[in-house]
Amino acid sequence: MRRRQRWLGTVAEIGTPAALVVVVAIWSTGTASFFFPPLPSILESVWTLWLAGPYRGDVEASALRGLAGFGVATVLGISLGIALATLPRIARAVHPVLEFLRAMPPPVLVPFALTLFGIANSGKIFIIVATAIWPILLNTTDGVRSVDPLVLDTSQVYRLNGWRRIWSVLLPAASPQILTGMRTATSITIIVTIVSELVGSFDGIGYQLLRAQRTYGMVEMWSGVIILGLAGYLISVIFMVIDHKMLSWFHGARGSR
Amino acid sequence: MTNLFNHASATAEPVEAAHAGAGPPAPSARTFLEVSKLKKVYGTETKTPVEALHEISLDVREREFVCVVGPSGCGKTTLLRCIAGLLPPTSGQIALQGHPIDMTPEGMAVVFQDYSRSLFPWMSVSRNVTLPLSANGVARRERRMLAAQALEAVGLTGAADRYPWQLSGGMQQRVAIARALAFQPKILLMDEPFASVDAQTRADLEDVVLRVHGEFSTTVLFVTHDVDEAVYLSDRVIVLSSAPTRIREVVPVELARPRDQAETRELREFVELRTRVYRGVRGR
Ligand SMILES: Nc1ncnc2c1ncn2[C@@H]1O[C@H](COP(=O)(O)OP(=O)(O)OP(=O)(O)O)[C@@H](O)[C@H]1O
Ligand SMILES: [Mg+2]
Repeated sequence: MRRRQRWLGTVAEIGTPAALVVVVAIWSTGTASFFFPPLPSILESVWTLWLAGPYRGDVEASALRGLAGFGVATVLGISLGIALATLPRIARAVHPVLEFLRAMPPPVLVPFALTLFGIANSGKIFIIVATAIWPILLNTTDGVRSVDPLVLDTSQVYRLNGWRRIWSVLLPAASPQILTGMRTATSITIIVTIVSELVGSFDGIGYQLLRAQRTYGMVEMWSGVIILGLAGYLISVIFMVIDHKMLSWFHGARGSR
Repeated sequence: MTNLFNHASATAEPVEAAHAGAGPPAPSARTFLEVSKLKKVYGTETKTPVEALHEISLDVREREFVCVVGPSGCGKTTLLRCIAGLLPPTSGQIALQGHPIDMTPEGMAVVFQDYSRSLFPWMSVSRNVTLPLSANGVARRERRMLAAQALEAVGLTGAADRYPWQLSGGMQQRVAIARALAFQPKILLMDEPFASVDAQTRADLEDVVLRVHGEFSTTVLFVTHDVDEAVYLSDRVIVLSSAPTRIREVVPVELARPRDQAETRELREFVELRTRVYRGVRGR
């Protein structure tokens, strides 16, 4: 019964997108619309253009910026989040400043980063960090604040202090929420990476998409969109694996309640 | 390899042989823990403050085994939490070896009444037991040995690699006990630690704690609902009244040690003491 259900689930997971691709492929090959070029040629250029062709460097540049920004946002977000959750006085002091910064819409940061960093990578990474950090920071703070008080009492009794308290108690206890924050941050990272490449940039997926749009390169545009979709899918698979590896205790403990 | 903490069912030889004659050292005359005029009111800032402890003064000597009994809700857990430095008293003082308590003092272990929430679900059972040891600078090999022996003592050798949430309530409670034992505390606070185990396991665990108390000169403060258990274990039973909570009666228990589940409980003295404590709890 169980196994049968899982098998059906797998079939649906692969089958639904496959069916969709087939339908769109047939339909788009049939139409002569300028805006919807035939799907086979789009899929082909995902490979020949983006992954193994002239735009490969752009994919790498974007991936690098995204990864760097996301990495810095994660490290900073978790560290600051723990600091804010464990140092309530400091938290109260910086709260207004944080709310102000958080309220700033990402595009506003673009000219600012341009002036500050020029068109260098660091400017784009700055924008990614400045926008992707929030869900991580807030979820970490929230997660650490809601650790079971008896767990904290236990840590105090057994003198789990400093790093050990952070590493063995606070971080694992908050890890379900931290991972949720990180997952949200990944979609923000993708969006902001692309947006940051639309202005003051000479490479990256965003730059090429803009160029394609200006030159009516429909195949290029559509295949770029597919590249982004694939990146999103890859990320969600990675998070599923992490979830399975790191949070099995969490799901297990919840299931046994 | 002999087990430091002993497991009643694992030791075939009679208890006398294990203790070679004289039995565990008697409590010293020195005061170890001093609670004076302790008062605890919850929610003093709110409109409906709850007085959990009215006025409690008690001295516990080094190596003494003191049981605290009293009706549900009379403030036993509150008392233990104050002593553990987890709850600031409303007034009064608590001192351990002459030093006032603010944080949890060194060398103290606590088995919480809400044992299952005190275990870390993201760690295996054995990691739960060894973590406090690594925090206190015990070397890796010794940590492993202590954890294995403590888990064996509570009958959980087979569960070392499982996770707390994979265990029954009684098993979780024993993990919490093993963690406290492996810590080898100078003073051990236990809040109804055997509430979720069956009668036979309970008797075994009572003897494990007695043995640890004797072997390591541990001072024990033990909260229980069970009058028999209180008399069987302790040097002194402290009976709390219901609110406003005071000490209603202190019953010294001078039964010989080592004690034996069958023989000690049959002694006329034991029965008399039990009756006395029972009357104290009932308020005569
Ligand atoms: N955090 C709290 N806030 C307000 N009141 C509390 C709090 N904790 C306990 N109390 C109250 O203090 C009193 C004593 O509670 P406590 O848990 O110490 O009792 P207890 O003797 O341990 O009971 P039991 O035998 O049922 O475990 C109770 O009236 C309880 O309602
Ligand atoms: Mg209680």
